[in-house]
Amino acid sequence: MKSSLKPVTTLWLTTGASTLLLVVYAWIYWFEPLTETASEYINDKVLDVLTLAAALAAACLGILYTSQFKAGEPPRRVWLAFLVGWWCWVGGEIAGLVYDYFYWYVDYPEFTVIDIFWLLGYAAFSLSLFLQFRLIYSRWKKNGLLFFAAILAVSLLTGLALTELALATGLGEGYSWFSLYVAVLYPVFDVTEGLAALWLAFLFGRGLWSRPWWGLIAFAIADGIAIYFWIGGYHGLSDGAVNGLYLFSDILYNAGYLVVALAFLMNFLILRFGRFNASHRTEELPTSVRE
Amino acid sequence: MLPSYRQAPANQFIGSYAYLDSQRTLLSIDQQTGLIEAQVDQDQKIVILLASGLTAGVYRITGEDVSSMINAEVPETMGGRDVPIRSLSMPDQAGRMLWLAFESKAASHYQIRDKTEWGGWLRHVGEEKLSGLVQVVADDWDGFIHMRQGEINSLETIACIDGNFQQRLPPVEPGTPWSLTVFTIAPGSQAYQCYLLRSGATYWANSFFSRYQELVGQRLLDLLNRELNTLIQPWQWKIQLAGTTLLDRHFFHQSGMAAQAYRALLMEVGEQTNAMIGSALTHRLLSETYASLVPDEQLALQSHALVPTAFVQ
Repeated sequence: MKSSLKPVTTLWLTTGASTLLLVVYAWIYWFEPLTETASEYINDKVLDVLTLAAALAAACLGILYTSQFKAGEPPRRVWLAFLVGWWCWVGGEIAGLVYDYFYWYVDYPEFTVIDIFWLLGYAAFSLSLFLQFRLIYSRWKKNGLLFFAAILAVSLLTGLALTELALATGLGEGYSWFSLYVAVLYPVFDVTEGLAALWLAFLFGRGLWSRPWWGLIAFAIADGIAIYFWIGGYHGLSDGAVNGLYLFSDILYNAGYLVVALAFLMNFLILRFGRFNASHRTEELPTSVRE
Repeated sequence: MLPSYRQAPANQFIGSYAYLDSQRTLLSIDQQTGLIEAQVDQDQKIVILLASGLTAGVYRITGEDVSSMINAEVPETMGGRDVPIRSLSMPDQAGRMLWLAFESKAASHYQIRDKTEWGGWLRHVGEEKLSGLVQVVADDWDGFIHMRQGEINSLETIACIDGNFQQRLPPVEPGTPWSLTVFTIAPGSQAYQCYLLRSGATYWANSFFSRYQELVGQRLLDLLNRELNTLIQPWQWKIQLAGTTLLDRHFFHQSGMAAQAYRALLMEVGEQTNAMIGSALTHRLLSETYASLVPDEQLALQSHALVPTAFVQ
């Protein structure tokens, strides 16, 4: 890349493409143009493919970004764990497409490969968050693992308590205890990781290092809305409001992937070409600086 | 009498004050750091120390007694006689250590005969957490080390060996003993204030860069290096950021000038790190690393408003 504008142009083009993806998604979601011309299944799968594209963008750009760190560097471990999380969720999206193909007209099994991918993703994100916090609060190096284990235990126990509560209120009717527990774990992990990511976002403030964590916050909010409906939050809301909130939740879900993708891209471009507003940003960094 | 880099290549001449002044003019024109030494009589010499061509100090040395004097006293002290005059240029690090020695008082002496004694002395000063300037004189070389909290501050070590200035001491060889002089530093002197600022700023910066690298990786640190080194270039400060080390080889002979340089550097550091890790974390890292400095260094930095909050947007 020789032109001074190129990294910025790349970023603007990617931002434009991401916005376009979200607009197209919202349009297909709301107007369902393919339901009439093809089928509801096709309409839904086109939406899933768009989500998969967003997830792949995050995961692929994550590889590009993580490759900028040398083996053994502490931030590489943070971003590698984060990257594994995104690939797990790409796996989850693909598994979702496959399951829909086979189970479109019947119920999913209670525990699926999709769940495995999601849970592995949460585990990778937790590790990434833990490593990032440990880097910031270096005093954690001694008892950080203990603290991490404690938070994990609290999350699992909260999931347990909420499962019992759901069963007591008749929410999990027709589900096995285990599948209900897994279903409850998602929002618990969402909240835990969302709060941790929010903390990091506040810590990093307006710094570029905060951006990748915004994705987890977006997912926590998006999943929060879905869970709110799952526990019956749609009572008293008009159909339009419910549909609008579902659309917002789905858009936010896709935006989560795209925010991460853009953050990875931006950080990669800065690592590769220097800050965009620096006085000597016109060309790729010399090898002596980069290597 | 305080030896001053005896092995360094020097111009030696028997001359009057006019010759001494011409030597000073030569060093000034070339913006050199150096010294001009006039052996006024058997026990007394006059030393003029220059920092990048500017006079840092004029001293009268009688035995181990060093006193400051003003320029105008030099011709009178020389008394119109021709005396042995020695002039030499030297790296800034050598000049500033000499300056610190001239502004201090010799407090104690030690003889080191071999490695064991050297190790023992280092252990002893380590336990005592000695902070101060130490001159090391051997038969064929001399130099300085600076102890910081009982440890050698390697960035301040300088020795003139075989006519070359080096930033390390040679090993102790049996048969060539070392003579150590520990100086008591005058806290109010410019030399000491400049030393404290330099030591404080470099230790602070180095700890900060290490933490920053740990947090963001080598690439981003390389970017910071690149932008800081570009910033320094037009100022012609002999300061360079290499990896996580701030190499300050500049002889600032006024604490205000040193503070101006460090402020510019730290502001650029603050601006860059704010953009990457945000102001809260930048402040956190700056405060965390600032707290690791010794109180005298913190005080010196504070007196020039070089504090963590000054570099966070």
